[in-house]
Amino acid sequence: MGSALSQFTEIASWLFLIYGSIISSGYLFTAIYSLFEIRDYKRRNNFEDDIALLQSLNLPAISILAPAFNEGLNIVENVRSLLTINYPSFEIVIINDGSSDNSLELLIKEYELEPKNILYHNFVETKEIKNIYKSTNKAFRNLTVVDKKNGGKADALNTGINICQHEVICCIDVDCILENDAMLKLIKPFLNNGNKVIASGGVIRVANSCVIEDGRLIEVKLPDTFVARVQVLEYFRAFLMGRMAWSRVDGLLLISGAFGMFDKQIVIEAGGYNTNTVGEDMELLVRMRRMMQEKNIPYTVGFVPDPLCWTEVPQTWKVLQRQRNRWTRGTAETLWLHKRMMFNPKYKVLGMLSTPFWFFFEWLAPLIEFTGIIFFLVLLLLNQISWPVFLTFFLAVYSFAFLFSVTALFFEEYSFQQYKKPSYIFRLIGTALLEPIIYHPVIMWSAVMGNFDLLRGKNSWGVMSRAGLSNPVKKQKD
Amino acid sequence: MLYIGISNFDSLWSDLPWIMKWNILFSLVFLALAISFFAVIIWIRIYKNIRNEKKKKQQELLIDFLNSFLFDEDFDKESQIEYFKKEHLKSSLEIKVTIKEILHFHENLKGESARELEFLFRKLGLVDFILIDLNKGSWYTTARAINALSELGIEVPDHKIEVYLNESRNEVRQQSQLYFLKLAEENPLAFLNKTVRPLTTWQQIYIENALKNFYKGTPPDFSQWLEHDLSSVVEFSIRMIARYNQFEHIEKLLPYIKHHNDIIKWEAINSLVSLEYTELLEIIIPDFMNNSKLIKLQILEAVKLLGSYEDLKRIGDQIETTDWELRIKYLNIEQDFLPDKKERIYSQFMLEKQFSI
Repeated sequence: MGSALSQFTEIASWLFLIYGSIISSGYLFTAIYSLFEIRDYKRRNNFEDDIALLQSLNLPAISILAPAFNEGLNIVENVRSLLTINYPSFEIVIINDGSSDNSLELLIKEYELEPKNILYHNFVETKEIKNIYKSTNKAFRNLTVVDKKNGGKADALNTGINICQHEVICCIDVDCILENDAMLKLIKPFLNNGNKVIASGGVIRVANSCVIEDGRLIEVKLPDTFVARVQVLEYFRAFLMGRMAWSRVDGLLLISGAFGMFDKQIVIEAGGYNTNTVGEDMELLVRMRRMMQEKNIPYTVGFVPDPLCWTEVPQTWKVLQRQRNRWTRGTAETLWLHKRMMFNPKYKVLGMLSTPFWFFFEWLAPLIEFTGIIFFLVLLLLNQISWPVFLTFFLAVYSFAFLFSVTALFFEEYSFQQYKKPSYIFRLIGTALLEPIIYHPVIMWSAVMGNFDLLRGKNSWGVMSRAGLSNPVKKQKD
Repeated sequence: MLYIGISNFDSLWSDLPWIMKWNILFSLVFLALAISFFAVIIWIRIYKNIRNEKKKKQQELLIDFLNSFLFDEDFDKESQIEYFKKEHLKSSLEIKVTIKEILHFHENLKGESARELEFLFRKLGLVDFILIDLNKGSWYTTARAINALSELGIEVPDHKIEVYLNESRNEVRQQSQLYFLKLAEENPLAFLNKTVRPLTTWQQIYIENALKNFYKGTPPDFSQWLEHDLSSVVEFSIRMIARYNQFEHIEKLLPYIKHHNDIIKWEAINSLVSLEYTELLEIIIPDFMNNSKLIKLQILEAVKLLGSYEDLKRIGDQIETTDWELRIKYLNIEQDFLPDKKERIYSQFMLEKQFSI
């Protein structure tokens, strides 16, 4: 019995070690690739300012789609901020997704809206549209407000796709803060590429505690709360390290739902956003890419590392857990829906690298970690723990986690250096030291619960309360 | 004592199980790397701060210097240039900042002042630094150097830049295209004859912008590139014929409305519409059915801008009821032609839509 147990322990330990080594090597490679990609990007953009092109009439028009659900507290200011976007030709389509508050009334009053009979077709099926509004004021002629029955974020975006006029669409969260040249930078990959570009995404940054005036970011500040501060590091890791590397090998599977640009025809051809998943942003891109590869059409997906879009991240543990629970379900659903891509050489980088990476290191990692903890507890109960081994193993894992965050911080310093105050570096280092002990277990637990909820059939976003950017608390349910 | 310590450590280390040895080794490597990165972060911060401080000083100095050079009549140009060159162009940072600042001033000045700045640029010996950059071999220094040359209108032998017209990097190609365009006194797009790599839309936008904002001579005859091997160049030329109202080339554009490449075809129809060539409709309407959706939409747009309700009706029967994109476009135009029937058209469409669902 004792020998069998010790053999089992030995095998399990080896498996955990091998898995840990592979995941660490994966991160190491992404770091190296990202460094090259960031260096290249900086070199490409350090001698010429494209902003002069904002005067050009040759840039393609963009439809900006922003779903809104119960955003009454800030909707008027948010729309005003969107209307001031610096780009020669664009329309804003606000999709009021059956809000139960006074969002629509506020918009009607502020922007002098009146119902308009606009011809449209449901290229993608959506919930019923109650009315389409246009402004009687010429100053807001590029604003369209669609009032529809509640159907969730994906359904609202699909409605926007059906209604909008232009061939390039930009899907954004209505309350995100965009940099002045965000649209120009995001459309550049579409126009400066030999292959057809089907989508491009930008880096999302944390706006909590930043100074924002009239919908414009005035000063970048480090969030006051620990929860939000850790997410600054997480976003560095995800965008500056992860997505930059995936972009270099053209293996991106996700463009954030908060800010992404798409070729409308390809989106429609792929079937629009999937309303049956909570990870609609990832699912859409995977489906679009899959479709292009199955049709053998050369294409690519662009990624812009500049900080273009600032958004508010969860500040409380409860909201954070809900968000991560949803992300896990979204990842699992997408991977399940496109399971045929996994290890399928037909899909090249996506099949052989991206989907396996997401499966083993994004979806499976928290589950393996959780199993590891259970395994540790069992060994503890059986008094089989070798404490010196455990402590040294813990130190190795902890130091790797810390190294990973410091590397991400280094990337930020090397590239965009948005957090100017010297004290911010020390606070971020302190946060990186605490993250593996305080923050990470919560994230892991949320992911485990996300899988559990998925098995139970949960399919909702859950209530996401936000503190608001320089505003009082508001409630949002997508 | 030290020997005993080391030998104790040796025996302690050799007694450890292999897994612990690896864990300790990895921990030490990771921590050492983390500390190194932290040190580099601090170093970058200090380095960037010092660099920014130096940049700021050099910029302030340059602003004074350039203002005096350009606008102070008592300014002793010869001796001051020599002094500046000797005292303030010692490091590569000073040189880079000076080049950038002069470029920035140059962007905002025209006429005599701009010429003066170009003279100053040469006198300060900055052209030599640019030429060194140009010949360095790395794509980004080359692109940066060509950018500076074209911004300041500094000519170098053509062959030195021509080699970059077909470079593999977009950025280098774009800068060399702009160099030839900005420095040309006539035929600013002659470089297209030597171009063998497709123009991206982004490059086309830049070229058009530069043509409009920098080139002062007679606009080129764009029809000379209609037979170019690259479809992107043909597409660009067709568009430019319309942008520059070269009505005399309408006849030359006509074959392109039957081109096998949809993008060229689209561009040709669009240009002929812009040139208000009303006879176009007699060619494209009968051919409506034989086109892709992209072209059909463009034909409808042509009818909207050049035609009448009667022209539109000739197309109506050729649109399938399930082709919603075309139908919506058609009905929108119909609403424009018949504003008093707008509501009826809308209601009928909604009914049909409901019925079809």
